[in-house]
Amino acid sequence: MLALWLTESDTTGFFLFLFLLVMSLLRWRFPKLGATVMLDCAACILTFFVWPYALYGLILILFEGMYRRFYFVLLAGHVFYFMDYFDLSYALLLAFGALSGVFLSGWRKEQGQKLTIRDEEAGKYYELEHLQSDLVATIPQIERMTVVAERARIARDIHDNAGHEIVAAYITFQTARDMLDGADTDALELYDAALARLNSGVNKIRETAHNLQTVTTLGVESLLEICEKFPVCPVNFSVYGDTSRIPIYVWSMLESCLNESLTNATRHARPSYVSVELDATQHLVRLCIENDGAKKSKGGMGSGLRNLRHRAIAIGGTFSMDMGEKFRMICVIPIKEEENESINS
Amino acid sequence: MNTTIFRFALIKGLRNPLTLIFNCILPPALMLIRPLWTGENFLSGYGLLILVIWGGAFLMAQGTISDRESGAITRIMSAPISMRNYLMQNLFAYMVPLTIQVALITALGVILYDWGLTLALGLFLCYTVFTATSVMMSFAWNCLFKKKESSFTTFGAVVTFGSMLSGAYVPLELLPEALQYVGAIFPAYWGMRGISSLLELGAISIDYWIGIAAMIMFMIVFLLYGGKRRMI
Repeated sequence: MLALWLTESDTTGFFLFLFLLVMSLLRWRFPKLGATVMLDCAACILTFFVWPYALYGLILILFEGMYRRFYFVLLAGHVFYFMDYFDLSYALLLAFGALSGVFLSGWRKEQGQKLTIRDEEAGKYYELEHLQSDLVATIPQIERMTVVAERARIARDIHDNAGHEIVAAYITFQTARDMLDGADTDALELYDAALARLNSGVNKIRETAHNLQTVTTLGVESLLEICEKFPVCPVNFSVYGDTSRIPIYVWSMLESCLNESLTNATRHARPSYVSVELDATQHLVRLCIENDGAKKSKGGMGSGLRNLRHRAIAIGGTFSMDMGEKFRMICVIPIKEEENESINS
Repeated sequence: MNTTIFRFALIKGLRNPLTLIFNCILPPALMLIRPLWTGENFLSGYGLLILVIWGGAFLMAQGTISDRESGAITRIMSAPISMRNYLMQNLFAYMVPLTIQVALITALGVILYDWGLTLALGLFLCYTVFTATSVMMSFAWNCLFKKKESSFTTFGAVVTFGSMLSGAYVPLELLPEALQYVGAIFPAYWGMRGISSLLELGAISIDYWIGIAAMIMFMIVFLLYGGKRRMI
């Protein structure tokens, strides 16, 4: 069309060309103005009476209209009403313009679909990467918790078993001392020295057992501490059953669940209460966290919750949520028999 | 309205010595060369002024590409300011000194060469519209390039050929017939066409308004194109 206008050196043709260019750029800039393609049609048909080559502009318009899937533009095919004769080559050019637009539009749609698929795949990849980094970060935490738990167990054993036995022996020796008042002086001195050393030993054992006690809280205490530190509203924390059977890695999982749930409640909801229930039986642990702020939040499951679900599944448990009137998150983790036995032993 | 971007764009544009020469020294200097304006010379002052405005507009409009090159645009966009606001303030800052220059030249023309009111107002309008179109064209042109040097070099070639084909310093009648209308793809052609009709008839004619309308349409084309391209 530009070539035609240059050949003809016609100002009308130039203005038509410029007008089509402006309208095309306008639609490129504001895609919602697709219907303005009919204005272009009208401009071409009106200009035809002054500059006959204007009808060639319809080829471009048909192309653009079909590319933008604005099918009313096909009405431009009625242009032959304005012409005295049927020009086959011109009709073929019109058809070519329309078909090119259709093909290009199809290609663009396919490209868009592929891009969407690629974006979804990339999203999954990044989510898995995030989960992996979460798991990697959990390993040292579990290691630390295991060390602390073992230390606490040793301290408890020394204090409860060995410590009590030695104290009982010390008391027995002291009673026996009263019964030995008439005995040999040398033997009594030796007995008193042994008793003093035993007393010193009892004090050292007590001190050692006290020093072995961990500053870091573990298990139920840890969950309770998290609940107490929650700043938004009071948290009602209840424990049922014997929690001593719960292995360390399960405590790590329960801590993560509680942390994530309380963080989400702070960020996305405005709860007036939060209830946390920990139910431990011989074969499973169930943690249920509930708050009444969910109705104010519209979001779905975030990556943090999805990662928790993956982690729960990985250790044979389940992780479910209910985002109805109240937000409720339930995590159930089985405790295997051999773990129970190892804890008991 | 916060005009910080406008002020900085103005200062940055005028800090370049070449821009100062094009915008402050060359136009008044041209006005002082009498043969250019009295038709005694082969070269026409009106055409040369078109060339100077075109070059001056391009030099001013390099602010956007230098912002992009230096990464300043990223910092500006991280502030609570919209891209439309940034562009509007920049484009306005580029146009202001050029419009003042056109007004000054018109005043000088009235004083030195006794331009009548119609001629003075007609020239002022024509040059002002051409200024705006040149700024938009330079802005759209700069959006095509990542490096300032590439933009500058290629635009130099465009201005040279465009001015020649538009009849800014060579009368169109001297060009081969096939090339006489090719220049119409440049706004300068329509600017020269408006000015020529004004000078020939001594009054504002339909041909003058055709030139103005064409330049305004060019301006819209460049603004739409430049505004759509990604700046960052």
